[in-house]
Amino acid sequence: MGEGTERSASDSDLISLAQSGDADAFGELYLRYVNPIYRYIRMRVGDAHAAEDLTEMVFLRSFESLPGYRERGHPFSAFLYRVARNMLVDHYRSKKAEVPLEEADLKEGEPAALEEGVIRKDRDQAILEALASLPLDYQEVIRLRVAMALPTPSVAEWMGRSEVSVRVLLHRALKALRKKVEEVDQE
Amino acid sequence: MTRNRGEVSPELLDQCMTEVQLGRGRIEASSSQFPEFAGTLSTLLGTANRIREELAPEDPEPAFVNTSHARLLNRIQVSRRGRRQVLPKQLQSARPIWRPAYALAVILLVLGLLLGGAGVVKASAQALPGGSLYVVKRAVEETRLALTWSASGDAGLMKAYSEERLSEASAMAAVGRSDDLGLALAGYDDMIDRLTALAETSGLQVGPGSLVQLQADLERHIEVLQGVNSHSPAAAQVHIDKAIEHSRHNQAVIEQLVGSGNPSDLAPGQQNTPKGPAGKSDDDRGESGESPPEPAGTEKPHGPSPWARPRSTKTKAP
Repeated sequence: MGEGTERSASDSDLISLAQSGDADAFGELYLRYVNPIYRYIRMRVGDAHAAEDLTEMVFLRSFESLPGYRERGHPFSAFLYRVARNMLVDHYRSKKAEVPLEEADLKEGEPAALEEGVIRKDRDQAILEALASLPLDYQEVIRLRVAMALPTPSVAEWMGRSEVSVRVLLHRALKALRKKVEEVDQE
Repeated sequence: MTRNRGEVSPELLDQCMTEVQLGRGRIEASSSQFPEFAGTLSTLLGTANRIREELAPEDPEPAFVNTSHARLLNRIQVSRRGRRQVLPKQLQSARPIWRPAYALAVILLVLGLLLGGAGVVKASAQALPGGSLYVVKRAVEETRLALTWSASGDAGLMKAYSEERLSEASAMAAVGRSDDLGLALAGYDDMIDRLTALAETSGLQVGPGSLVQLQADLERHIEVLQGVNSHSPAAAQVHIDKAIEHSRHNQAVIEQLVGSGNPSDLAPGQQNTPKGPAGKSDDDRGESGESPPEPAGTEKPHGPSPWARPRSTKTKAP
């Protein structure tokens, strides 16, 4: 991809170029999506350095998977998100997580949302404990839609659901969270 | 699941949350705009605010982005150079070479399938999760789905297969095979999701692919699952509870679809929610302004996402 590459090149075009060996094209994809992927990972691991390492690995692994990648109606960002989630599972398994992840042994009631290295006394423990006690889908939609403030269509693409499903899921998740917070606050 | 009168709808909650996130309104303003739902809206948006204050992640440092970008390009170019160093002769030798023995093996395989395949397919219909023919059974089902040409045909098959998964789960519960029960219910969840998506877009008014019929079917499925749950071991109940929750979620989705856009449901003074049934095009995103303040995306389906950041902008947290 030369200097004449326009900003408005679609993801599909960039992916095709990257698949045929254009490193700059993949670099452009990186610059487009490094922020949301980093923010997602940062939210999950809490530590900036770990988030940087994992973010870089997500894009490396995505590049290595490019030859077999086909859009199939799902955007590239959703693919990156899946890679990031799998990377996080591996990350926690390799660290023998104090903070278990869903695919690891998430035990009911454990404060799984208390990300490593960020347990400060001034944190809103009630909200974190309440979040950790919710079903995993509820936790994820709250992270993506609320904490990261992703628009609903993007959350739908990432989670592989319809927009209606995401709105309903968010509604139920926030109601459940509110109820849990009230219970925790009363303790 | 029925919504109580006065309970805020998912669309309204989403709309108000977007307004607050984009800085177009405060929680108090949203609540006062919809007085009938003020209490609930205020509470839910306040809960969301607590989450955002606690968990909203930071942007990466520009220095990291630039360094990482350069490292990534360097590694890509190094790996490309490495691949180019593979001599054509070496590459050719790595390709499978067609040999007469392979042709004979393929012919024998095809003959075997033709002569014995029909029997295998028939036998697989009774297979249960964990059995050797279960993979064949599921493959046959997917093949039949791929070969149907109508939405109603698809819907009929999906309904049958979802109920077959429930039967399998019930059988697994009876013999205490919790892992295999989980496998069956994962298949049930998947089939129900597909059937819900089909009902959402097909426009069928009657039959298995209609929203009304699906709602009734889900209610029945939940009853079946609850019945199975009552005499299942604890390990199995985890899977069954998840399947029940999944079905209830799909019921709630259907309720939203069935109930959307009906003016008689709106309370006096309530603003029409802009969202309609699922399947709206990307162009409709703009009217609610869901995107953060970024350059508008292209019209292509998978062009730059509205929230993909430009190179040099350090974004503010929402």
